[in-house]
Amino acid sequence: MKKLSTWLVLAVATAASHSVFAGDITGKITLKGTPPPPAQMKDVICGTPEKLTITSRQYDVGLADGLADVFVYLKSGTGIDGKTFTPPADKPVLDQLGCEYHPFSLAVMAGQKFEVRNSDPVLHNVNCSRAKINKGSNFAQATKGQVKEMSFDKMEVPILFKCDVHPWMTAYVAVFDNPFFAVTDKDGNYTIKNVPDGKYKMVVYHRKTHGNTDGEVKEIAVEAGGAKENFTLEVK
Amino acid sequence: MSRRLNAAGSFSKTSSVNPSEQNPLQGVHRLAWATAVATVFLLCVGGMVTSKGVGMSVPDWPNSYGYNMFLLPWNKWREGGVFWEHSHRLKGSLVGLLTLSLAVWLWFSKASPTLKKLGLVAFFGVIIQGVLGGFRVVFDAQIVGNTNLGAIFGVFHAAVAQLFLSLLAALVLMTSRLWRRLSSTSPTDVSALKKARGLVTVGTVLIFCQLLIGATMRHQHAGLAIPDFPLAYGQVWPDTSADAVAGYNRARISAVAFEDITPVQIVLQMVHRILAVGIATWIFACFVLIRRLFPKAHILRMFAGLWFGLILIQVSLGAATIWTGKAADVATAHMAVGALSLVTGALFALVSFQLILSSKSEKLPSSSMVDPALVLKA
Repeated sequence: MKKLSTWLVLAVATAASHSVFAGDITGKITLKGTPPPPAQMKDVICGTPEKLTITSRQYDVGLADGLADVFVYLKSGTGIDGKTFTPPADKPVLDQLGCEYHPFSLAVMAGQKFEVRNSDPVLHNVNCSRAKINKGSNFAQATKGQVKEMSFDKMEVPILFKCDVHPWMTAYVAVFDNPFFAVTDKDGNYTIKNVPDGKYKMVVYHRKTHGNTDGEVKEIAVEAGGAKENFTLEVK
Repeated sequence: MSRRLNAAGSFSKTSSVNPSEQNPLQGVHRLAWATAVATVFLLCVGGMVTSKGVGMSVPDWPNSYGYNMFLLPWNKWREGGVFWEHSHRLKGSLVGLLTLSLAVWLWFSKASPTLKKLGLVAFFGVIIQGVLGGFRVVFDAQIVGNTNLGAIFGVFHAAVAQLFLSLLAALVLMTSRLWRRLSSTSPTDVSALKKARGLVTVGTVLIFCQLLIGATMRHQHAGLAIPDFPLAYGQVWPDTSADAVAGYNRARISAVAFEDITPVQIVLQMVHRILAVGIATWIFACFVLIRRLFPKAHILRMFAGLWFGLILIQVSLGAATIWTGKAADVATAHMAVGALSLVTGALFALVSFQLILSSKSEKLPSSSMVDPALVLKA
């Protein structure tokens, strides 16, 4: 009976700590200005009789100027500094379908495993040898359904993945050293879950807008179970 | 009726061929031609590999996707970038075999020791070239400083390709009947020949420097560092400040070029443009001067005309490369005509040197003039 009550107290304390001391950061990233029109690759053949048109995805703008594919993450702060984090057990998938990568932007934690899959009936090579901090690689996936498990050890934002057989095929994989990160959806919305209350440095990075810089940094406070942070990026 | 080189170094029409002038190296000369032509095709396919950015579509070497290179099933390389990369490897093997045959044939032929040695140089050159191509693949994931080691090997691979083609072209010339006749000509105006030799040698070295810059630009796979021509980002000299370059990158949309451009790449392209103007001017001056110095139908006048024509085409292709957004076929044609310009310059210089040597060896016994390599040694 005593043991049970101890467990109950622990469970209540854990639940209380989550509701009082941690919450979600939500927000929207919008793009100000008109981006250059996308480039197109016409008459692409990808193992099927019909030809495809592939459109570049450097600026993917959705509803109310919401910008997709933006990495949003916490760089340092109360709930991060001096702590180590265990990578999540779930394995996101980077799929090759219709001679395009899905998703275009993938975020994982250092050490977290993710699957690279070929869902096309044609050969692809998966080339991430341009990684600057992690060890890059280049391997082939010759048959449909082939899967390779990958992970990166160190934080790096982002790593270019490309297929040289179909040179328009690219994706960006960002690796973080803590679990507080997100990628904006097609309308520019994001959610970073379960962030402990405190002060943080938040970073917003969009591959095309920020290029080889570290992105935009903002000091934020998470209080009373959450925060809302919107950003506006500019095309000059 | 055919055109033959007379004793003064000019071409004249003749209706008969003296049997004593038959070329004892005719067979090896034909093989040298075949090897040189195959190498031009190899260069073009290699150019397409780089222009399309598909060099890493076969990630392993010397195998291809784990297969012995020659046994890779057709259905694995019939499509996309792998077609160009694997074709390049197969054509490289063909050129390797042809070069080996050429070296062996030269070695056991009546060719001079110099030619035999050049055959060996070509053989070792093609091996080095193949290994450089392999290293470009194998070391692609290695970063030295901020530079990709594979890309550095790529630049060397491109440079050696140009030198190798020039060497093969020299072998074609030096195994030809024309070369034998050059050895037995008696040019009178040696000072004019020396002027021509100097001009042509400088022009050829400038072209090689230009090709190195071009290869460095191409192997960075950054697309067009400057998208407009004749201006650069709308200016005579583009702004290369960090803010300006960041702005260029934000506005730069391409379906295939993903790496951001850097100020160094912009400056490199500007140097390429300026040097192009310098080379075109130099070769035009060369063309004008040689027309003044040598009579009509002189072999050097013909070389000068061909060289100037190629440079005009090359400058046009350079502009077209930018105006088409670096279309793969146009960019490859630009690379190929650059290679032919280098080859023409190299042969032009070689002929100038040989004519000067012939004039110096006039007093030598006639037998030494029959063998051009002996004349070279003399």
